[in-house]
Amino acid sequence: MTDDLERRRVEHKLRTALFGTVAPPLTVGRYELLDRIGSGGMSVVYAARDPPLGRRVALKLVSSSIRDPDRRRHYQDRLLREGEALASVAHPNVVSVFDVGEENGHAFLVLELVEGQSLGDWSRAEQRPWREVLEIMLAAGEGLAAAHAAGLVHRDVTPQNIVIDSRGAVRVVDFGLVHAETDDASGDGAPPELLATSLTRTGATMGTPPYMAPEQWLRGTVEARTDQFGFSATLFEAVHGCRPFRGDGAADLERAITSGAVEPAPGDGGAPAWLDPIIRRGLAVDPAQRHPSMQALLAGIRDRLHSFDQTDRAELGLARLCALISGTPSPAAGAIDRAGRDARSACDTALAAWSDNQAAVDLRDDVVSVLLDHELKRENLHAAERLAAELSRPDPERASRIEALRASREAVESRLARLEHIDHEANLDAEPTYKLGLLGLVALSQTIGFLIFGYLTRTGTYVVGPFEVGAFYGIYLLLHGTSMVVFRAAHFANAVNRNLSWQGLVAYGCHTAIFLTAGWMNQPVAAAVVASFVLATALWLMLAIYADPRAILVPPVTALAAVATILRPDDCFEAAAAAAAVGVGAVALSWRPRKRRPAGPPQSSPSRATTDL
Amino acid sequence: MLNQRGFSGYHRLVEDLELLVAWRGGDAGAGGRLFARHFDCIYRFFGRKLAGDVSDLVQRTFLRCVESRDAIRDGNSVRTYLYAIARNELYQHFRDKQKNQQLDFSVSSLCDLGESPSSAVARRGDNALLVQALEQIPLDLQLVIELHYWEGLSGADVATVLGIPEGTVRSRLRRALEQLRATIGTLSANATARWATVDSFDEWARSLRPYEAAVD
Repeated sequence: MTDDLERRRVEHKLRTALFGTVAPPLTVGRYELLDRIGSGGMSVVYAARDPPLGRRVALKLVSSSIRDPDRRRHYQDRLLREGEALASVAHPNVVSVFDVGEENGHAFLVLELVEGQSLGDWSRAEQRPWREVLEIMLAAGEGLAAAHAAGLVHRDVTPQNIVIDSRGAVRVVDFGLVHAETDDASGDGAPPELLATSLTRTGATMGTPPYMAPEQWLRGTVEARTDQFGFSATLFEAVHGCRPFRGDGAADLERAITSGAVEPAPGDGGAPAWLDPIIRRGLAVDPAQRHPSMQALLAGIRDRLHSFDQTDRAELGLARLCALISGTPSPAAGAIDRAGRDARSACDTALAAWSDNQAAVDLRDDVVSVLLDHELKRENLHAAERLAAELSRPDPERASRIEALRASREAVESRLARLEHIDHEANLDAEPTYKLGLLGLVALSQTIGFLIFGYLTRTGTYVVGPFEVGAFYGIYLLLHGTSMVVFRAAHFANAVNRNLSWQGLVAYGCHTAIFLTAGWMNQPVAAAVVASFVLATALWLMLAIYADPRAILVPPVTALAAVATILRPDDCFEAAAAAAAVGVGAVALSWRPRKRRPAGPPQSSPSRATTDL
Repeated sequence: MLNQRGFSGYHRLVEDLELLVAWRGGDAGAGGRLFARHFDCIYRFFGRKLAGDVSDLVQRTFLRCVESRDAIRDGNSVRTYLYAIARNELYQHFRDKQKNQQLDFSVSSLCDLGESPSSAVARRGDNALLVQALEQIPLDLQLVIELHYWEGLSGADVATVLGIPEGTVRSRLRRALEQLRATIGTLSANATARWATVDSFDEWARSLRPYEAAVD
């Protein structure tokens, strides 16, 4: 029928063209035949018009070359099966089926008319960038994956069966060999001799030889991974411009394919190196060695593309970072941090998508190295150490620079610690209550002493002799000693406190000794007071020098009080009051909020502001 | 009305010429009749050599025929004239396609030119063998055999179509048969036995119908 149909179509067309005859259009079913757009092994495809809608469709019929009635029936069944399969897939990347019909006992299939070029023609037309090729192949792969999801195997994935329409949309076409995955190997009902002859012919039943999987050649079980083989062979050809298997004649080709002798990828094309292992895995002889599914294959490609994009982003980030660091005289730390973080996170995303992306690993190292150099220049040791730990490979040159920075930093810090220790030891206010307590004790003891002696002298009940004074000083000595034991933390907090406390103890001891010696030698109390005054003055001078200049006020006042006590015992009460006032004044003056250094060992807290800058 | 003699070859020949003259004169009806008479031959001629759509070539052949001011030479039929044009168109088509104007059709076969309209055809037996062999011998030689045996052209007509002197047709036919025989020999030993000598080819070839519905 189709032979006759084709003849009638040409005749009709030429009559119209040559003689302008308006003849009723040639129809198949309700479809008006237009041009013949292709003929494969077993079928012929016409462009046709669907009159009620005016839309252009593709009409597929069994080729006229099939004359044997049994075979014709077989191919017609297959045509119907193709229609059924397409109806069950329904995917934007798979050609759609509109209708099936029959005329004069001949089946036909009405398909979406994809007006464009096949992948084969498309890639031959001009040199295409690999990226563009991959986008097309990913779309085609989606279509195949959809067919697989519907439990179908295309079995004839070739560059001819992937069509790119004028808008760039991609469709997988020609499901003429479609096969349900549950069927057994030869379950397509073809007469055995047909399969036998078709295997040795081009454009034969079983597929297109250069793209046929080993299991198709050996008539093993056909499954979704068979399409993966065809897809990978097509992908190889699309990106490299040559076929993955070479062979003169079917036998050679079969040998090459079933032994897995994949041609080496020509290095001249711009195709990325990472693509090759993916394609080769898809071309594995053993289906089990291929990718687990079409989706897995596509995901592999997509992940790497994504990784690629992120690497590009990181490269841009690195350029921006370098410009920031070298361009401005004093780059803002925040901007550099941000740029560094962006570039590194792009690398991390790239590596998350594809962990073997060496470009991303190297780029990340570059970014980190640039940041590291920057931090080293700013002598920011801790940041530099953190960055060095991020490098994928040890960098001996930078490591030694970090080591040098660390050594110099430690030298400075130990000197600082020593200075701080000295400062602390010399600080009378290291223990803020200490000075207060010490002065308070002195003032208290003097005041009480003068008051007692003044009172006794005035009442005349008792004349104070050197022994009594010595005994009082002994009590002070005891008080001071007790204080040193009870408040030893304050007394021994640092060198200055320690010295003062001991000196106080020694001074009280001396006073006690002076007065007791005077009493023992029967000397008058005045002589002892003078000796004691000399000693006290020395002590206060020392205090004025070491601790607080105001201590210098104490000796003159004490001297006045002492003179008054000696010369006019009757007025010693007033003298005592004056002495007490001086003592209290001294206490009040020393009671002022002074800036304290933080307590604790001076060598602590290494990350002080001074050390970081 | 035409009497019995009107269907004879001679009358048909004259009628063809009259129709062509009328068509050249602008009579579309006459053109249509002429087209109806010869469309099948020309369609077949191209259809056997090309797998794709042949409508353009057929159309160009008829257009050249009507647009040409050439007189049809004595004794030649319109059919022969159409075949000659068709052959030219076919050769030009191959030259354009191969981008080689020097293509030598006494050397190149259809197979060499990458055309194999029969490859998809699941023929069997001697018919298939013959078609396959014909596609493997030089196109010039294939045409001699095809026109002579299956289109029934006389030696003079074949000479006109191929543009060679009538005297060389016989020798060319002999050469064509030798090559065909050799080719068939490489394809199948059995068939060679059935066709023992070049002379017996005549009978063998006529018994076969390599192109179904070849001759009306």
